[in-house]
Order: sequence, then structure tokens, then C-alpha cells
Amino acid sequence: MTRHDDDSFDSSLGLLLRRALRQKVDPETRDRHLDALTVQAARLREAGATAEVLPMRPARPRWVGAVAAALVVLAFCSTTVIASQEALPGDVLYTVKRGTENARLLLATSPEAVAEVRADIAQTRSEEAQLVAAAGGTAAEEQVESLQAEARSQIEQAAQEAPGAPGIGAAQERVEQDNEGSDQMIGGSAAGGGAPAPAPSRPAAVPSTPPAEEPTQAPAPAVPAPGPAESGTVTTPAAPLPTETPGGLPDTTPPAGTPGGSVIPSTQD
Amino acid sequence: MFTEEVAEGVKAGDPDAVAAVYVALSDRLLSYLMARVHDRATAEDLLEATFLELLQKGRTIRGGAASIKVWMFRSAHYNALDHLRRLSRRGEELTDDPIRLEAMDDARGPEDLAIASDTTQRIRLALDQLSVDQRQVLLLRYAAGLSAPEIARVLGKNDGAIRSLQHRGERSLARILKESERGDDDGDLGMPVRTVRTLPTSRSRRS
Repeated sequence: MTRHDDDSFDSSLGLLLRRALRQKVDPETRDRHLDALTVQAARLREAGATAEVLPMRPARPRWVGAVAAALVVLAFCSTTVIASQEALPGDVLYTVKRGTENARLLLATSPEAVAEVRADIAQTRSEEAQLVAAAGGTAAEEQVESLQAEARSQIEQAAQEAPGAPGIGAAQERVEQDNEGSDQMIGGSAAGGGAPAPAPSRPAAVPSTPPAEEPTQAPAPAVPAPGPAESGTVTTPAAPLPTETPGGLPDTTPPAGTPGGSVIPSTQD
Repeated sequence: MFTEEVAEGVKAGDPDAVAAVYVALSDRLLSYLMARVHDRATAEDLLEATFLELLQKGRTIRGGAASIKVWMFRSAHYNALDHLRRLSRRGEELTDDPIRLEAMDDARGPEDLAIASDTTQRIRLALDQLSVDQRQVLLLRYAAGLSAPEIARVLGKNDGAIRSLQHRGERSLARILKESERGDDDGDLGMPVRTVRTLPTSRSRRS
């Protein structure tokens, strides 16, 4: 309690103030107000029967609104980022996709992690090149070239940043396969259908691991060079795995030097 | 009496409990509203609106009788503020009505009323010369009869700030009234007599 609370400050002035400001509600006004309150209470009882049935909702803390808004924004951003993963050059969400990739690059802490992200990006670009090539269009060729170039560039950078990082070789191999596929599609569509276009020359970015279909050490043929009329089981040397054609079918064209023109072992009695 | 039992009734939406609060607080609320809006009819309307609000929203008040009392003055404070803003938007000005103000006190004779009217006018003019914050605190202290912690809760300030505003307001008021008396002795009122007041600025109203 201070002197301000007990009016010890110049009590005469305090009294004067009280008297000057004092008002009284006159009886008529009081009756009118009390009547209005009774009427309003009756109205509330009639209209607000639900208010008695339904319990009052507890007051919501202020932070709930902020958290809800943050969650909505987060959900929107997540949905956009996920949806953008299927975007191709020219799509509205493609910028978001590229932004996400840049963010992944920025967030990668070690050179190995950066190289891994770059390898991922390179594969994404080559897949995009294939899809663009399959879709065709007037500017498809330019776009495909640009995407392929970027894929190669990413692989090169990845190899420079972390030469020993695992997965770069496999990524490069995959990129080259994809690029080859998109080249064939572009070439095919340019030639009016079917004729495979010559594979564009590519710089060897990094020493790639040899492809699985090209064994480093060919097994010694157990049998002499088979002739068409020769009897017995003919075992062909390890034949390359069929490569995918633009239509998605395996390319069963025999590689040069495959005898008999067939890779299927034949049994003749 | 405004007891905790009455407070429970208010929170349950009981009109009798609200009527009991009316009996307990209406004079003080009217004094405060009258000092804010300077018009008895308006002050009475705002008083009624404040009690209707209590009837509707009493369930949401947390706490007992003390909290309901603070809630009432806070509601009256904002109702008055809304009215002043509406006036401001319409470009109207507040006018004093001291005769009407004193006319309600039937217990006093004509001579007493004349003296009282003069004193009241003098004090109200002196109050007008205080800052908005000081005036609000003094009105809540002397018209509404609230304590410093209650005023702090009504105005959303801390106790220290309220005590300081009250102290400075009282000193300024005493000085202004003294100067006024001296001016009267010299045949001069000693302070600008304004029967028409300008509204507080939006900045001062916010504070």
C-alpha cells in the first residue's frame, strides 16, 4: 500500500476530485437498465439454449494459431517440392526442382556428399533428357543437348571434387546410357523413324568402370570357333546385355563378331 | 454486495447476479464513463451496453469477483474509447455539460450547487490539461475508485507505471488548481477555459 492507494496525498484534493467526478445512476435509469438486462437474459436463454448444451470451448492459446499457420506453410512447401520432382524443363515447377537441387548441394557438408548429390543431379538431367526426347517437339533437340551437357558437367565436377567417391562411375555409366538412348530417340525422330542416329562423340570425363557387358577378361573359348553346321552345344562368349531401345524393347542386334548371328545357345543333335 | 457467490452467478449467466453487480458498480462505472464522454445520456447508454456485454460474455471471464470488477471497467474503458473514435470519425467534438452533470444531485441546495458546479468545472478543466495517461489514471482512481493494481489491469500497464502516472498527475493537478485560484484572485481565471474539447490524438489514445 502506498500513499497513492490510501489517499494520503492531499486528502482535500482527493476528496474534491471524488466529489467533482461522482455520479449516481438515477432510479429510472436503473430500472430501465435492469429491465433491459432481464429481457436480454430471456433472449439469450431462448436463442442460446445451445450454449447451455454445448460446453464452452476453452480459450485457445495464441501460439496455436501461429503453429497451425506454420504447419500449413510447411505442408504447402513440401507438397510443392514433391510435386516438382516430376517436372520437366518448361514446367511451372521446374524452377522449384532446380532450387531443391541447389539447396541439396548447399546443405551437403563433405566433398563426398557433394559429389553424391552431383551424381544424383546428373542422373536426373539425363533422365529428363530422355523424357524430353521421347516427348519430341520443336526445341527438343536443343533441350536434350543442353540437359546432356549439364549431366556430363555434373559428373565431371563430382569426379573433380571427390575422385574416390563411390557411385560416380556407376552414375556416369547410367548417364551415358541414358544419353545414348535420348540421342537415338532424337536421331530417330529426326530421320523420320527407326534409323538410329550416330552416337555423338563424348569426352571421357572420368575413367569409367568398364560396363558389365564388356568383361575385362574374356573367358577363353572352350570350343573352337563354331560353325553353323557344327554339332553339340555351342557356348558363346559372354555376350553383351541387350541395351534398351527407344521403344523400351531390348536391342537384340548381335554384336560384331558374334558367330551365328544369335546369342541364344542352341542345341543340335 | 458483490460476493464470490455473485461472481459465480455472473459466470453462469444468471441475470439476478448481473443485477447485483449493477447495484454494486453502476455508480462508479457511470462516474468514469461520464468523465470520459462528458455526456450523461451517452454515458448511460454505454453503461447499459457494458452490463449487457457482461451478461453475454460473463462465462468467459476467468477468476472471481475481483476479475469481474476489472473486466467491467476494462469493458467500459473500451466502450468509451469506441464512442470517442466514432465521434472522431464523424468530426464531432466533445462538449461539457456541467449543469446537467450537477443536476442529478438533488440533495444540495441552489447555492451549494452553484459552488459545486464552479468547483467541478474548475477541476474538469484542470484534468483536461493533464496528459491522456495521467487523466485516465486519475479518473479510474477517483471516479471509479480503483486501486493501482486494478488500474494497471484495466489499462494493461504495470503497477509502477500507474503509481508514477498517478503521482505526477496529482502534482500537476494541484499546481494547475493553485494557479487557477491565484488567477481568480487577480480577476483572471488563470487557465484557458474551454467549453469545447478536442479529442485525444490516436497516439495518445493508444497509450
